[in-house]
Amino acid sequence: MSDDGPRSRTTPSSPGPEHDAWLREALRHAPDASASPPPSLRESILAEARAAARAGWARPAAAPSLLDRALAFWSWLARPQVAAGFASVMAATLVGMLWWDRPMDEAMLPASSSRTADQARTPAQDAVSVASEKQSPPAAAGKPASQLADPRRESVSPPTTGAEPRPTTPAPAKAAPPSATAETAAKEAARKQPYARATDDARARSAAVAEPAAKTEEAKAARKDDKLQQPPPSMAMAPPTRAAATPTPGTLRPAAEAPSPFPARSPVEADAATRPAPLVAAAPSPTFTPPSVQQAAPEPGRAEPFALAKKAESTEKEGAAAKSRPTAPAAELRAPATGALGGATLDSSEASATGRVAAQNAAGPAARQPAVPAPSPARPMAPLLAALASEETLWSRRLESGESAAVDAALRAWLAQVQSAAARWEASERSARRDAPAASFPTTILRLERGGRAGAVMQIEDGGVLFDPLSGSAWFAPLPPEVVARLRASLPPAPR
Amino acid sequence: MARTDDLPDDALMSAYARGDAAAFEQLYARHQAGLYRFIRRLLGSALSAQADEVFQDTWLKVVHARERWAPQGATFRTWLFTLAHHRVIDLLRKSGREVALDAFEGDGDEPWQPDAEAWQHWPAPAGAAPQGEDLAFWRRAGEKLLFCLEQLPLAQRSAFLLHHDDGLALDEVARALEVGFETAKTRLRYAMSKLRTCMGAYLEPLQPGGA
Repeated sequence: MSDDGPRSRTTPSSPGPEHDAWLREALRHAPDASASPPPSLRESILAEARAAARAGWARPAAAPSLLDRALAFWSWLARPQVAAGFASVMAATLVGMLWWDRPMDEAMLPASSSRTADQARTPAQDAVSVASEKQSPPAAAGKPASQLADPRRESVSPPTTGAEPRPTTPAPAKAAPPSATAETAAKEAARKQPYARATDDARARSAAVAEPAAKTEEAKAARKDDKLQQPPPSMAMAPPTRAAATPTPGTLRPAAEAPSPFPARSPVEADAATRPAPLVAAAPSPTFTPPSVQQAAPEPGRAEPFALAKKAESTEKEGAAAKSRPTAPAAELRAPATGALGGATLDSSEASATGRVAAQNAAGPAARQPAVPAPSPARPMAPLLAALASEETLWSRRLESGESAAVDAALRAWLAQVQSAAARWEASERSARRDAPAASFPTTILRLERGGRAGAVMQIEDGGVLFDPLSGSAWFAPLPPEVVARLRASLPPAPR
Repeated sequence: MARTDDLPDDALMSAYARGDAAAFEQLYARHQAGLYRFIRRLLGSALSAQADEVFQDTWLKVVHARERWAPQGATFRTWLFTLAHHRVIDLLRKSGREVALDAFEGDGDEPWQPDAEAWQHWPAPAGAAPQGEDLAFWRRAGEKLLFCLEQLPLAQRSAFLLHHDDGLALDEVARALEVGFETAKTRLRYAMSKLRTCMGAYLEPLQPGGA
């Protein structure tokens, strides 16, 4: 716009650069400046408005329909401010979910976790820690204090430093009191529950920690029951008590070889306990263990939860390494395969307990529940008895002639009798002569089949009984000659 | 009717939403001329026959939206022109015309300014009604301006009309066009630049006549 020139005196004052008085004046004198809608259109619009007003007056309380509300909500959501806020919330949620998916140990603050762990420590643990600090080698003493004081970190670390066999300087710090360990594991599981992330790692860790803790509680209760049901010493044929196994040079035995007092009671066991004339007491008792070995080796049964927690948290390789017990030779310390008998696990190949726990965690909750209770070192025959009781029609007995006969109550009673007689089971490297001709051992080999496939072999030998579940380690229980003879004689013949 | 003369547009619309048909008649009487002009000029001469339809549709939208209408920072007038603008865009798109709402069609940062010489011989815009030759001049200028308006993109045309014809402030123009303030301001500046160029070229031959 020009404000100078010959006619600048007549130039109106412009309100701004965006307003032009000349253009406005020209617009005001345009030919259509006085245009107006036709009267018919006016009447039409006003008639429509009046009709709508009357209709609206007739239904003044008409609430907006769901569609109107949806449209109003959509228009509100389509506002830039609202949309931007919603997008921000979504982005924050996404980032939070990504962060949330990290493993718990990395996501949690170390200060709070260590503080919680310190609060969860029991006096017994403190005492053990003090003892371990006094006896631990310089390498362990050189570790940072936070690592030593954090039991959770100890449980995560591979069990190599404290669990290695040290004949001269045992490491009692790892052999914490079983009760304190179980309580700590339970507290740890309970503490982790609120922070349970949707990660398989955390779930596997919680399941691995909670399951052995429950087993320990169950073991305590069962141990009490066994003590109550234990017959008088005069009725016992085997010397299972500590007094019987006392320190003679011939009976000294490492703890790992000793049968673990880890009773996993099954319905069959309960049934067998109620049957008449058990040969021996069902409750095994711990044997004497040399102090050096006892400190280094985790106490069977009680230390099991701690070991399983370590296994679940470690990798497959570490789990395989943890399969071997700390102090005993690997050949003697092979753990019995869990779920070795019955169900689908009968046909599975031999796997370590660690690998099985990891596989169950990876397969989901359905796979974590075996069809047959896991055998305990004390009663490796328990799963077989349970499977025979629950799946009686599937099981059969292979005869010498190659034919199969049904497993009847008499045979089950005989097996229960064998279990009762064998108070002390040992892992054996030998396997039953499952392929041997039946004629060579006509009365001492009992071969059981499940669904037409070999399920278990029971072999009565001169020195005891050898039980081979075929899907795990074989077990041998030494028996007195008279008991062996009685078992051989009482093996029921095949039904005709 | 007399009792609604002094009420603002928002109050009249609220009264109509409650069933007062007279309030709507008052609103219609206030804005019908400006809205009709706006629609006609926005459509241009090629689509002027559709002006009645757009005008009616705009008012019917007001009628149908009476129950959920609520002043949300804009006046009723601004909302009314927004409805009309939307309806015009729909019509232009249906007719196959390209509607470039975000095209400024400017080559540089600043719109081109016309030569000042062309404007020196224009009569001053008078506040009252011009007489004689001035009236004839402005009528010719008005005709030319309508022609020049049709050469503008729709976005610039609507910004110019809302600001210069309907008297909306710049922020109201931005709100009616649902754009930012600076965007509306830029559109307006480009529109004025082009109109000045167009109008100056037209009026230049009048200079020798001593307009």
